Formats: sequence, structure tokens, C-alpha cells
Amino acid sequence: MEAKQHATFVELFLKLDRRIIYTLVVLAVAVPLLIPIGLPINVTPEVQSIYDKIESLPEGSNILLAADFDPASQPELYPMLMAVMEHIVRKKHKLLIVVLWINGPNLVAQAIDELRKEYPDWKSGEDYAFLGFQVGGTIVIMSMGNDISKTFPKDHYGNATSPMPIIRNFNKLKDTDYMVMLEAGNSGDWWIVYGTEKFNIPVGAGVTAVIAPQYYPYLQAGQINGIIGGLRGAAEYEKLIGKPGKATSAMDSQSAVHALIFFAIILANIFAMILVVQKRRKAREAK
Amino acid sequence: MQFLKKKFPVLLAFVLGMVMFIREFVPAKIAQSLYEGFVNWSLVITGFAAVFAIISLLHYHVAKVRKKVPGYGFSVLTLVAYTQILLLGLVLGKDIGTPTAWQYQFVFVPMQATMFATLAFFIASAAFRAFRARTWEALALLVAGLIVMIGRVPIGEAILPKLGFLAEWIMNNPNMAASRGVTLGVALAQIAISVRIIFGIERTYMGGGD
Repeated sequence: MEAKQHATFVELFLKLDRRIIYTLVVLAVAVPLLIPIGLPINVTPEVQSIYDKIESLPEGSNILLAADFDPASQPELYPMLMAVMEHIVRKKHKLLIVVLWINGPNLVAQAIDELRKEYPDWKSGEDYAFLGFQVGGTIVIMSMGNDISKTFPKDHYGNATSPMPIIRNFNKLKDTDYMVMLEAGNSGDWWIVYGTEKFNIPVGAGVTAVIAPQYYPYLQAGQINGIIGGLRGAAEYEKLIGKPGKATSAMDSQSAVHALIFFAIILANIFAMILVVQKRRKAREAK
Repeated sequence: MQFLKKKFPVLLAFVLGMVMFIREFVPAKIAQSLYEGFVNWSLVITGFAAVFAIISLLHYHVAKVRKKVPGYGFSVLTLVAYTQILLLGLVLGKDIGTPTAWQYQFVFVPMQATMFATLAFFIASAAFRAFRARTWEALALLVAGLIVMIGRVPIGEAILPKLGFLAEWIMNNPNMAASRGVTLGVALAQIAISVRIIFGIERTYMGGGD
């Protein structure tokens, strides 16, 4: 009788209503946001090397930033964009920003707007140029290899790019001293194949956690010098620039959700095994 | 007409494909200017392709509304949303503070973010139900997945400091090897498809019909 009750509990657990799981996910996200724990974040070598590269460049170096993402990846890549841009601004490097994803430019415009409030002397056309979106994907990259101002005759705000002071010394891909690409899809592959490899540009990749595994072969081959992976990577970069932001504050929530799924999978597997053993025992007893 | 529809695209693909391929091995200045010319053409053609895509989308939804097929209300919504954002963008611009930017920031961004965020719930539920160690291979995948999942967040390293190192090792070795295999496979397939297109064996890109 006792064994029967135990089996019922196992079965009940394995058929747990999805709404209970959803509620647990909501709690795991919301509670740490309301009551932060502040778990320590260790910086990985992949993130450190991107930071070190930007840090080591002489003032006024040309940096190309590709922000190829849209609002679906905003929670992971927007904090990364903010942290990397702020680092570049602080180091007084020249920055060109391009977008290959049609729904991305407004997010970059928003980030620039936010940053300009803090750094009012950071001037468009001189210190940075936001070139916006251009249709064409790989063709845009190939065209930037020939002439950036011809590929983007106007910036995101409608200003002509050719008279801009920044464009004078930064008008071809080969003028790039370092590139950071923030990628939510396969456009990172395009940059490596048609841009950075062809013109021998050192590049670091900031990517969503989902596609981070795809970038490790590039890292090992030396085709990229680092990976900022997902929200965790963004939090690491925020730690490096000494300015905890959205990524850092969301790390506790991410920890809680990961822990929840971790224990849910382990418990589900243990209970599934118990169920198999019970079924086998019953089958033996029936014989 | 058959020549223009069937043979000309194949001929064009062959000539341009071969020219661009041979050009890579010619270090002359003319080869570079030829490349620049082709890239400029491609940019223009891609721009036109984007316009065609918009026309095709509108045509599809207008046809659905005209025929009043089930669910045509969604097509009406698409057409209204498309037309108003286009007109507002053209008349008032897209800078911060304009209705276009407002719609992007307060309608589009939350909607897309919400769509993506719901994945967390489905993943949690699906992982609980389906991620089972039924075979040895599944067990290996399960263990690696669990280590990476918990080792890449601060709580994992807080519980066991070595977990972070272990997760990094998995990403840098077994994961890297598998990803490289996939990347090489895709690259080889791309080469094969390119050769088939250049030599007119692969013609699906021309579409069906007469």
C-alpha cells in the first residue's frame, strides 16, 4: 500500500502542471531583482582580453563597432553595447558604428543618446559616427572594404558622411585598429569571412549566450581575440569598467533561474529512474 | 522568352561566377576595379530586392484581404501597421521624439522582447519534461549541459569554484570541436552549392513555374 502511494507521488511529480513551473520561473526572476544577493562575478579570460585590447590601443585609435541585433536580444546585448561604448569613449578612441540588422539602429541611437548625457563632449562626426543600417549583409561588408563613406553616404541621422572629420582617417575597413562585433545571429560569420580576415583586423565578439558556443572555434584559431558571452559576459565587462549596470543587476536572477532549471532536471531524472525501477519490479512481480 | 527565363540566368551566373573566381587570382589593378564595380552593383541590386520583398509582402496580404480568407483580420492589421509607420517615417522622420521612434521604443521593443522572454518559460518546462538520460550519449549531454548551465552563472562558482573552470573547459574543448565540425561541414556545402550554381546544375534559385 505504501509502495503504491510512493509511486503515485513520483508520477505526480513527473506530470507536474506547467503553470507551477512557470510560477517558479517568475519567482526566480522577480525575487532576486527585488532583493539582490550580489553574488560575486569572476571575469573570464575571454572577456578580459577584449577589455585589455581596447585598453592597450593608443588614444585616438579607430574602432569599428557592429551592433547586429534587435530588441529580442536587447537584454543581453544592450548592456554589452553600453559597457563597450563607454570604455571606448573613456579611452578617447574614434568610433564607427554600423548595423546589419534592420530592427537594430534605434537601439544604438538610444544607447548613444544615453551615453551623450554623461559625456556631452563626445561629438558626432568627430569622435564617433553612427552610420546606421544598410541593406545587403555581406555586400555591405565587402563595400566597406572599398569605401565606407560610399557604402554609407549618410549617417543614421541623415548627415552626409564624406565631410565628417572621423571619416578622413577611417574610410576603409583596413583603417580599423580594432573591431568589436555584437552579434545575435550569423552576421558575425560574415564579418570574419568578408571583413576582418581579409583586411587582417583584430576583432572581439560580444554574442548572445545561445550562439556563444559557435564562436569558440574562431577564438581557438585566433580569428577573434575574445568572447563576451551573454548577460554574464556583459556583467563581467561592467565589472571591468567599474560601472555595474543592467547586466550586473540581472545576474542574481539569472543565477536563480539556472539553479531552478538545474535542480528541476536532476529531480526529474531521479524520479524518472525511480519510476522505471518500480515498473520493472511490478512486471517481475506480475510474472 | 524561354531563353530569358531559363538559359539567360544560368549563363549570367556562370559568367559572373567565373569572372569573380578568376579575379581572386589576378593581382592586376583592373581586377580590383572590377571587384569594386561588382560590389557596387550588388549593393544597388540588394536595395531593389528589398523593395521587391516589400511589394511581395503587401501583395500577399492584400490578396488575403480581398479573398477574405480565414484570419484575414491579421492581414488588415499588418497593412495598417505597415502603412502608418511608413507614412509617419517619411513625413516626420525617425529621430528620437518622433512617432516612429516612439512606436519602436514603446510598442515594437516590448513586443519583441516579450516574445523572446516567453522562451524562458517554455525552456524550463521542456527541460523538466524532456531532458532525460535515457542513453549513455544522452547522459553525457545532460551532464555537460548541467555543468555549463550552472558553471556559467555566479551561483555555480559560489557553490563550487571549480565549476566555472569546468564549464570553460567544456566550451573550449568538446564544444569547440563539435562547432568546428559543423562550421567546416557548412563551408564545404556552400562551396558545393556555389559550384553547382555556377555550372547550372543547381537551378532552384530561379524559382518554379513556366
